[in-house]
Amino acid sequence: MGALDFTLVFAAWPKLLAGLGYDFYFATFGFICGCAIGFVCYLASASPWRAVRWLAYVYVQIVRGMPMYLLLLWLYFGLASKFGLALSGQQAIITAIAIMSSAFCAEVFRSGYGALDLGQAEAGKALGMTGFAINRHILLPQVIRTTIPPLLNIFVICFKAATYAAVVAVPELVFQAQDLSLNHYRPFEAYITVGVMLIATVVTLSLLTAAVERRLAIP
Amino acid sequence: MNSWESVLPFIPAMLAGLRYTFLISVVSLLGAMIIGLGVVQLWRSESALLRAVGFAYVQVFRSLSPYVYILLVFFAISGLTGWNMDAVTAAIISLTLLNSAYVAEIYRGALLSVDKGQWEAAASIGMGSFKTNYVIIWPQALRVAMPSLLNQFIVILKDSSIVGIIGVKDILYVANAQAAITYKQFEYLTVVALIFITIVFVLSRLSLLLERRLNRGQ
Repeated sequence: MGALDFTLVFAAWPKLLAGLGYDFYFATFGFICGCAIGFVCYLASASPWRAVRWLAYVYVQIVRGMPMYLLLLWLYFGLASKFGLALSGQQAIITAIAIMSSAFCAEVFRSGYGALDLGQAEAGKALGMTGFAINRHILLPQVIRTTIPPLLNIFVICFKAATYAAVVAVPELVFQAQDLSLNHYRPFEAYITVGVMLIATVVTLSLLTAAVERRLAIP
Repeated sequence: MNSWESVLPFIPAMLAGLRYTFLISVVSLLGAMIIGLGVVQLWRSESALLRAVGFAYVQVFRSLSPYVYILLVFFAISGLTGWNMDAVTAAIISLTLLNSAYVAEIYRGALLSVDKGQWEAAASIGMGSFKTNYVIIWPQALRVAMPSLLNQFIVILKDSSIVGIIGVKDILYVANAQAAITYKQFEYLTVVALIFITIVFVLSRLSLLLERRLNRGQ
């Protein structure tokens, strides 16, 4: 093993940046879908019908029990082999992130709503507001404020999970590292560069999250 | 013939793969619990520099997915040093490092839950700092930390499913290999998923039970 030589890795910077862009894209898209599914899931878990609540519970238990990597393989290879539903690598990773984060998001919404004073909903009812209006004007604005920091934490988890896309051959950052490592036989330089890029991104995101948390904290 | 029938005889082989899953997870959790002790000690230090080191350690080590960690440890370190690392060792090293950051966070939360007055009480009967830690503070903190540590074990168990990419013959690797031969990815992966879901469900119920039991004594 010769001396360290980063020139080949650094020369590939456009690819590396594009890879990071892919990771952001998967994380963002998957996270937004995950929030939507998670919200529906929360609504189902708070439903007056027992069967609907049970369905939400089973969904969350299944999603929580599935490792991310297995979920991705199941979506990418499993569905294609049985139903001919051949998702592209990008569709598979976005769906996997959406499903994985939906369980976390449901939990965040549950505790967000749980923290609210029940009297507020009753006060709304007393004023003759409908259930939807109570939600739209009284509960949701408060819930959004308290749930933004934990949701941002979930976004960070989604970003970390986006690197699994390399498994299904999407040219994101880790895939680029594998590519560089194989083609130039510079495994250490390639992986350490990509590792540092990912760490820098995630640390920045976590510090931002902490700043938002301080800003939004209810005094 | 039902396409699931051919999977059934293969289930024992998959379950045998679970021994790697559990071996890696248990050893990684124990390793993380030991390293986590050191990290949390940095946090509690008087020196601002050491506290900053502890903070940076946690930030850095929890910033990567287990997938990237395993690639880094297995390919990057062996590329640098020429050490031909065994795949199981690489998996244990990566998951230990990754989880030491999370375990340190768990310890910190647990230590905060121990009442400050106990330090003063211990000092008033002439106990030194080491003895106070060892006899009074940590036993209580560990008790509080138990359910969280069990939850962390669940996370490690799930994360460990990635070790197949470097060739550890864990449950997912075994199932994948057989699925690739028979083109029954859906059936095999679904069975693995059901096994994982069952294990995680049982363990998380256990953790909940433990939490209730520990709270009852308070």
